[in-house]
This record gives sequence, C-alpha cells and structure tokens, in this order.
Amino acid sequence: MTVNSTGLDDLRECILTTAPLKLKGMELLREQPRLIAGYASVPRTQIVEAVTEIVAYTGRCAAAARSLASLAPVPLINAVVWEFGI
Amino acid sequence: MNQLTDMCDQLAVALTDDPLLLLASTVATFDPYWSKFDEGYNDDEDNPLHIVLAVTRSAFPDIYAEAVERMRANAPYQDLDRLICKAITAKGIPMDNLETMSWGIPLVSFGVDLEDPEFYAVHSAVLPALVPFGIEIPESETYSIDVPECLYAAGRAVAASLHAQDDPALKQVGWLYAWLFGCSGDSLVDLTIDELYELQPLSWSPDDIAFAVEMIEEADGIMSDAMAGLKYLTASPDLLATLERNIAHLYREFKKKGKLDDQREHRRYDHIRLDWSRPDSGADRTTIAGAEFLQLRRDAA
Repeated sequence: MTVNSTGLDDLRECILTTAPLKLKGMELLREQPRLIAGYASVPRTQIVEAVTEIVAYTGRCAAAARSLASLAPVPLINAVVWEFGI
Repeated sequence: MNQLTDMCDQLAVALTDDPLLLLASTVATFDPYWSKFDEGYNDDEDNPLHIVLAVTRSAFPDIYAEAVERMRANAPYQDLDRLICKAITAKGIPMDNLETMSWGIPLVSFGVDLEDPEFYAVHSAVLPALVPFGIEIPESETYSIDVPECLYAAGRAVAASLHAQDDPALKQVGWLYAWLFGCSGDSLVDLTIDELYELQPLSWSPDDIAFAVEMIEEADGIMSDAMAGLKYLTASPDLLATLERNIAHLYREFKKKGKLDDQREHRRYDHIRLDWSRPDSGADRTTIAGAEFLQLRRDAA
C-alpha cells in the first residue's frame, strides 16, 4: 500500500494552482475604485450584471460553507498530513 | 478635490490592489445584504425593507441593485417604496405597497358574485347584459339577490357558444359572459376576492412569478375584451334581441330536460346549439379594443 505524505505547504500550493476568481464586480472596482465610496457612474446594465453574478457567487459560497459545516469526518487511509499526525 | 476625498480615493485604490480585499469590497459594494438571507427569509420587524430586499435579491437582481444604490445614498423609505413598487409593476405584477410583499405575490381578482347586491351598485353598466337572463334587482335594500342555478347554466352555455363564433366581436361578448359567470378558465377572472384569499398565496419563486405574470396578463386581456364586448352588446339592439331569443331557447331546453339542481350539470347543455345570426343592422361589427390581447392569448382563434 502506498502512503502519500502531504504537508500544509503542499495543500497551499494545491489551492494556489486554482484559477483566480474573476467577477464582473471586481473588474468594475478595479477600473473605478470610487465605486466603493458610491460616487462613480457606471451604466446600469453593468451594475445589474455584477449584482446578479455576485448574488449567485455569495449563494454558492454560503451553500459550500453549509456543506462543509455538516461534513462527516473522512478517514484518510492513504494520505498523511504530517502537521496533523498523532 | 479636497484632502478628505483624496484620502478616500487612495483607500479605495488600496482596497482594489489586494485580491482578498477586492473580493470583500465587491461583495460589500454589490451585495451588502448577502449574509442576511442565508437562512431564508426572516421578517425583521425593525427593518420593513428586510423582506423586500430578500425577495428582490433572489427574484429581481436589477431592482435589488437599484434599491441598494438608493439605500447607500440614504434614500427615505417612501422613495424606496415608490421605486420598488414601480419596478415590480413594470415586470407585470402590479404593486402599490411594499408591505403586501411578505404575503406572497399580490394578486387582484375580478370574479363576480351575482348574489351580492353591491356588485350591481358598483357595476350598473353590466345590468343590460344580465337582464335578458331574468335577473331581477329588488328596488328596496336587500342582503342577497336570488340567482337560480339555471341562470348560471344558461350564462355558461351562452359564453361557450359565443366563443365558438368566428366573429371577433361576438367572441368579446363571450368573454363578457365568461367573466360574469366565472367560466373563463383564468382564476383571476373567475374567482372573487374572498375565494382568492382562501387559496395559498403564490411565493416569490421564479416559477410562481412567471405563472403570476402570465395569469395577470391573461386576466387583463380577458377583462379588456369583456369590457369591449359589453360596449358592443349594449350598442347593438339586434344582438340583445338575439341573445334574449337564445336564452329563451336555453330555458325551454332546460325545462324539457329536467330541473337543474347541480351547477355542474350545465355541461349537459353544452351541446345545445344557439343561433347568433341576426339581420344586418349596419352596426360596426369590428372588435372594439384589445386586438393585441387577442394575438397574445394562447386560446385566441
């Protein structure tokens, strides 16, 4: 039986390889930081697109958080995370 | 630009430089109420806008976006009420008060209770269309009008027969009787407001919203045709005479076939043929209004 040993650095590296999140709202804020303070003018359609996307995104995040909170323990048989070893 | 606004701009730029802060700023800017509705609707008594924001956030993101923008500009509740009601009305669900939102999709029905004397007081214009059926309105005050079951059967038979005609004006008169005798097939046209309130309200889910919009649009179309039909009927003495003749024929048939105790029994008389031909009086027999509704309605010929 092969045992994989994984450290926190490996986990971090794994997460960092995921593609960066691109949201329309983030792009809008990058282009017009004054939107944060609420005094920049952006076409209504762009705002609506950004809001629709972020509502869906926050909904997915909330659903994921709920799933993780009720996740049953998963025994790791073939992987060892040294930092959490007994 | 003064020093304060300059500082604000610098802070804003700094917030957008860091990916995590940028994401947090994006959520705070575009969806500031994201965590409020995580566990479903929570009617917060201290904040009457809570349910409104929850509904618009899930059902109408464009309206939510505008409401959030106005709230950030410290718009008063009355302005938000006006803005959101107007925006939801524009989407096909008439609203005049945000407080009704927590009860589900607000619906208004047009259904008629022919036994209610108040109906005749409010809709005196429809009396000429009902008199041929033999409805009698007592001159003295009364709590209820006596409407025999055979009258409903006759009304529904007349509506069905008129719908089967090719003449669009006669179809409109058919919608008039479909409304008066509650047989249009559209709940908002057929049910009285009391009957509607006994039903489970529609939620603000996408499916229920789509259904409500379709039902409201159809009801408006039917009512528009019904009013056009009423106008046409009352302006056509020859049609009124034909109507009287057909009703007399129906009542004769009812008498032959036995007493009508059960309202459902009107289906037994659907096959009775009614003749709507009448001498050409020279009256304008084109539809009076609502051509757009006839085109939109699925069951239009």
